Order: sequence, then structure tokens, then C-alpha cells
Amino acid sequence: MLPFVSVLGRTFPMYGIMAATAFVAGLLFVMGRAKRFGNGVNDSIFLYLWIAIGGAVGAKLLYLLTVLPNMIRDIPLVINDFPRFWNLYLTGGFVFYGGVVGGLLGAVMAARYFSLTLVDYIPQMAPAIPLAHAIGRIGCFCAGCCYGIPMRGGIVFHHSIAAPNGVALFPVQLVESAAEFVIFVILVIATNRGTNFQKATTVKTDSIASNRMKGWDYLALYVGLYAPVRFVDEFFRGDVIRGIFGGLSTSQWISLLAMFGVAVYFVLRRQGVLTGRARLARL
Amino acid sequence: MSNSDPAKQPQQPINPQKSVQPAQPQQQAQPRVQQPVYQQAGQPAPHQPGYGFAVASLVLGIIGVVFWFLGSPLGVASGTISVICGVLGIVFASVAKKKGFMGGLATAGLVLAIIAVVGGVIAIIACAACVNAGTSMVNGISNGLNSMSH
Repeated sequence: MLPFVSVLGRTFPMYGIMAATAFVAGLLFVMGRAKRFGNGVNDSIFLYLWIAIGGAVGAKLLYLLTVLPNMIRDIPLVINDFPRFWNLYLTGGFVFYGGVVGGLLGAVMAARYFSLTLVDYIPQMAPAIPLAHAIGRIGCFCAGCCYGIPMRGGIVFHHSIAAPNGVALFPVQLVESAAEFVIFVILVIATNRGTNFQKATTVKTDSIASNRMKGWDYLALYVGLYAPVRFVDEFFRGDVIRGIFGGLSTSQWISLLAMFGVAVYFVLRRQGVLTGRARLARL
Repeated sequence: MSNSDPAKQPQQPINPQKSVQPAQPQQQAQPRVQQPVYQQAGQPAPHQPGYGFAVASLVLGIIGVVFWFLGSPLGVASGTISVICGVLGIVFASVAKKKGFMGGLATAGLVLAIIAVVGGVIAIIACAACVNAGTSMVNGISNGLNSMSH
């Protein structure tokens, strides 16, 4: 739609601008909620930065994994024509689920390094994921990547660097962005209610308190809300080059696994096997 | 206005006398109070653990921001260097924090590193899934720019 903008004689990709906006919005969101959740602003900033770095690395690595055969074939370009290799494989290309895993690993590493109790930061930071993702999807729409299937009356790209230009397409990026904003609002309300409840009660062993959502539950809630959205969303994606296995895309398979994992988590949680702070709280 | 305040004039010779006598104890007291403040402001940083990492973070943050501002002459390379310097700046600021360095130096380094990363990301990432397109992405970017300029 608008892949590039010119500012003061310099051309910037809109996707990069929206990615940076998502990063900053998430950072400000996390900083603004630190006090409410009783966490230090400084610790929150460092934790967020490590999560962001881990997320970017994870998203990139999983993407490179999907194009590994082509990348191995093009390895000679590293010596012969490095700028071309760079443009082909390193300037773009991310897989969101890789970012989630990478971000989680980054969070675990940061928590260990700074001796933080990670579970205390989950309610504060979990809504930042859909917030950043929602803004990033708007960047996808601007660039024309992650585009939808052809449909009558859809969005027509004219300067896209990824989507077919001149073809009416389903605006799947905007739909997913809207869904992410809804998930963001749900998570904010849920985490705020959880905080208010913890402030209101001092009896932590109470059965009602133990059934309340806390800690890792919010991350599970996010995955449980996003995975079905992504699973359905993939049927309306037109960029099928991301890989189809058994009639489902890579992201749909991961979504199914994620939904199964979240279902198991909440069943165990309901049976009292997990408490939302158990074991993982030591991270 | 000054003539309308005669009451202040007799006080003027008194003030210098008063100011002379208490001035000595003030001057004597000043070193006791101000010297520690002067030392805290100027000297303690190098002795604090993690000072070197804080300086490294600041330097890398500055380099990252400068390369981002260089922009067009270096093309994508400038953004890449910005991101690399920014990420290293964040890592060094983290190490400084871990070692217990508490000062504006590390904060400045962290902020500049973040700016470098943000600027670098803006400069180099064109889209999320363009890599798959391979050569068509590169061509698409140039075609898009050409069509926009026309």
C-alpha cells in the first residue's frame, strides 16, 4: 500500500518504521505498568530489551530454517556477491512463532542473569506481545507482505514489493491486526483484574485465590487466544510459499500444537498440578 | 525607589560586618560539606564496578546513532552497523547493570543503543516475508521505488 516513505530526502521502508514503532510502543507500555505490578522500571526495561532481542533472533532463525535449502545453495554468494546474499536472506523474513520462542528464551536468560523472578513480570509484559504484533501487522499491510487471497472488492496494491500488484486481495493483515488489538485489550483487562484482586486479598492460600489467573496463566491465555486466530487467518493468506504440509501451513501446525499445549496447561492447572507459579516461577 | 527605602541604608554597614564574621565559619564549613559532593560527582565512576562496560555501551550507542544518521551514503550497511552496535550497547549496559554500576553513563549508553537499534531497524527491514521472494524482492524494491518516483 505504502512500502516506502521519503523523509528529508531519505527513503525509509514503512515496515521498518512500523516495526520500530511496535518496539517502542511495547517498551513504553511495559515501563508504564511497572509500578502497578510492583516491578522496577529499570529491571523491566532490561528484561524487555532481552525479550525483544531474543524474539528478533528467534523469528529470524526459524525463518532461515524454512529457506535453509535455498540458503545453502546460495552460500557461494557470501564470497562472490555478499550484498545480494544480504538482500536475499538477512534484510527481511521473520516467523512470528519463532519470535515467541526466542523471546521466551531471552526472558529466561535475562531473568537468570539479573536474578529476577520471571513469573512476576509475566502479567506486566504479556499484553505487550499482541500490542507490538498488531502494529507490526500494519507494517505488513503497508509493505504488502503476508498478503491475503484474491477476492472481489478487496484491497488492490500498486507499489507492493511482495504482493501481486493490481489484484484485489483480502486484507488479511488488517484483520489479524484488529484481532491482535482485541487480544491486547482482553489481556490488559485480565491482568489488571488479577492485580486488583491480589491487592484486595491477603489470603493467598484461599481456594478462590488459587483458581485466579496469575503468572504464567496470562502467557498461556495469550497463546490460547492467538493460536485459533492464526489458524483461521492462515486460510485467508495468499502467500503460500511459506510451506504447506498435509494441507495445512507451517503456522497452522504450530497453532494446533500451541492450542493443544495450552489446553493441557489449563487442565493441569484446574486439577491443581500447576499453580501458575509452580516450578517455572523459579526462572 | 531606592530613596524611598531609607530604612535599608543604615543596615548596609551592619551587613558587611555580619557577613565578615560568619563568613569565616562558612568557609571553614564549606570544605566539610562540599568536598564529598565534589568527589561523588567527579571521581567515583571509574572506581565503580562495571564502569568500563558503561563506557563501552555509551561509545557503541554513539557509533550506532552516528551510522544511522550517515544513512544513504552507506546504504543498508549503515543500518546494519547501527543495529549491531545498538545490540552490543544494550548487552554492555546489561553487564554494567549486573556489576552494580549505578550512573547516568550506563543510562545514556542504553538510551543511545536503543535509538541505534530502532533507527537501524527502520533503515534495513523492508518487509516481514520478503526473503522468500528472493530476487523478486530486490527487483520489487527497485521497481516500487521507480514507480513511486514516476
